[in-house]
Amino acid sequence: MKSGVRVDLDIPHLTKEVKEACDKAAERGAKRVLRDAKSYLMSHAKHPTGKLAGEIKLESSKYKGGGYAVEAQGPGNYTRFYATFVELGSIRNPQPIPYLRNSLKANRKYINKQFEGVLD
Amino acid sequence: MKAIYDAIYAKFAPSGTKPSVYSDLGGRMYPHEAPQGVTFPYGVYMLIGDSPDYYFDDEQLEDLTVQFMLFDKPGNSSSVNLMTYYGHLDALYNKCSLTVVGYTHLEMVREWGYPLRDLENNIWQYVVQYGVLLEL
Repeated sequence: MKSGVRVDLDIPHLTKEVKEACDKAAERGAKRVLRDAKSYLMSHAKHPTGKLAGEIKLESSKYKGGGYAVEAQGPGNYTRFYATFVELGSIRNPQPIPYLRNSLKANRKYINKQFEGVLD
Repeated sequence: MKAIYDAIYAKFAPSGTKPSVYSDLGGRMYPHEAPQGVTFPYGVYMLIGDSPDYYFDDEQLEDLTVQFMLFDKPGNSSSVNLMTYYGHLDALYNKCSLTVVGYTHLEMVREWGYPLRDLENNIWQYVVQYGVLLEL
């Protein structure tokens, strides 16, 4: 006598669900980085006007795998190009204000938790 | 975190034979900010982030981000040597062993480098970031 169980997995549907859940986790993480980058900038800038903070954007990544990018510099945008000198420092402003790097680093655990939540 | 500043400078300017980057910069490597009117080329280093990581009750890691900035202003007859200086800086610090008082040094690795240029003043700048892991 023989018995067996057959499991039919709808792989394309499962993949889609996991991808959507991961995308939401990434979005939550990116939004937190965006929020903290603005706040870091405003609290560390010598003369905070809010102009640069207002130009930090959350964009959907163009990578095939999806995800998000928190951007403070776009091609052809002079105002945003200034963002690099603020983040990294320059000969004129030798004290960098690492608003993107530090907000990403501060949120690493939070971002990991978002993805752990997806896998639970 | 004064200990990390001391460790970085000690690597740059040891008491014995000086590394190539020391000669490149004429010994001009400063914490945070260079003095007014300093001669080119020169370097600046600073700690820009420090995240503690507690992995057991009594054990703690310090995850540091250290940034170096190299500046050069080539004259009309001189070429840009920043890439050479950057290469020598990286040879000294990437995957090096640091002596940090009060800590066990685990690693120092380059995370990225980024060249910039101030067009108005023809000043070249190379920013390079290292991640440093220490254990208390």
